[in-house]
Amino acid sequence: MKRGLIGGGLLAGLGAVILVGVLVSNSTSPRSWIAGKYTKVNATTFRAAAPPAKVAGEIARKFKPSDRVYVPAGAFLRYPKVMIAVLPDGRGSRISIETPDRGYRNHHSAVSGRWGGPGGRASLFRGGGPGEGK
Amino acid sequence: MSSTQQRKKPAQNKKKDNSGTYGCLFVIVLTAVFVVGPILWGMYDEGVFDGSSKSSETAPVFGGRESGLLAEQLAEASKVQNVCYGWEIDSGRSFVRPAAPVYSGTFTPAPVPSTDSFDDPSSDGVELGSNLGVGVDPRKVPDRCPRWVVFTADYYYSSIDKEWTSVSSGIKTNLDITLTGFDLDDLGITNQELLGDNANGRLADAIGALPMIVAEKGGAQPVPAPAAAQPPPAGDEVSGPGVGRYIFMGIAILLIAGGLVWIIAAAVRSRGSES
Repeated sequence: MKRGLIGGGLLAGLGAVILVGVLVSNSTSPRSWIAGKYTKVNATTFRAAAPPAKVAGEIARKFKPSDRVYVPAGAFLRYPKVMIAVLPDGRGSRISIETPDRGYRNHHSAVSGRWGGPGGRASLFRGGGPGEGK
Repeated sequence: MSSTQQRKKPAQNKKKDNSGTYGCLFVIVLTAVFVVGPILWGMYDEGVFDGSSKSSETAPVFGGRESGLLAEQLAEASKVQNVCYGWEIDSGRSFVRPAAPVYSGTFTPAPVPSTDSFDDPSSDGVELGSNLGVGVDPRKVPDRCPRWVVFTADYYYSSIDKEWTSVSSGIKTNLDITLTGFDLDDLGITNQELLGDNANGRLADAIGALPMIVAEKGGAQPVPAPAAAQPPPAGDEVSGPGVGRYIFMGIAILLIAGGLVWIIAAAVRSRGSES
């Protein structure tokens, strides 16, 4: 009985640690941090005085995104439950926090092929390097 | 105590010991199915077992659609900022066969110098591109590009490991502003990222971010955001969060279930032996 209790307990404990780790990593969202740091425009939009490159860098350093896309007009950061767009707004930036689905539709020209595509399959810039063969 | 009971006791002890063996076997099977299996599948998916190293030795960094898209994005930025943008990536391999770029119907590239033909494998493994088109170095066309910014990456490719093992990257310019690789670091595009799991994506980001960085430094006005969202065509949708999370959740749940089953089985056996 003692051996079973120790072995089973260790096994279940390991599983619990992994499960908690997965659930915690999935709940990463910079929404409240952004709301506290930048000026609120509406429920999903905020304004920053700094340009997009600087703002996107701040957010990405504070909350590591699962993926990101930088295009000449702005930056897009992807998290498990939200997509953040940082676009120029005068001399500053406009930060939009959207669901991945809505963000993909709203910023399709920038993130198409990277974060989705026909049937939800991303096809661009997916290689680990060097090149497409890997 | 009767002689029958005396003979029965060692047999019960032997039965009790088996619970640990079954538990270990259960863990091994779980590990094989839910840990080793997904890892092997991932390696298979990455082409590790293909048995051919030809593609990793000769494939270009960017495919045709990818390099064409980068050139078009930079062309839009160049129109606004009057700055030429380009890239020069030395992938550290010889005989890289550049992919013929694929452009949308609205983009007209400049002629590619004859020495950088897409028909023959490159002898130096260097891939070039700019807002003028794939294969065109803005530094070599001063009449069209009096102001230029070029992202450079110089990789070391290990033919033994069949992958990039080091890289040095930076930004070259003739503008009156200081641009360095640290500007990319601030965006999270570090040399470590340029060697990581999605190196191609990070290279594209480094190139795509150049106009943003130049605007931030005061070298040009920001590129405006697209005026109106272009809705995706039917069937074009965002990708899911990936199977990795579900694999780990599955492993965790199975480990918890396995542990509980082990404890319950041991308790039942213990109770049975006591009675």
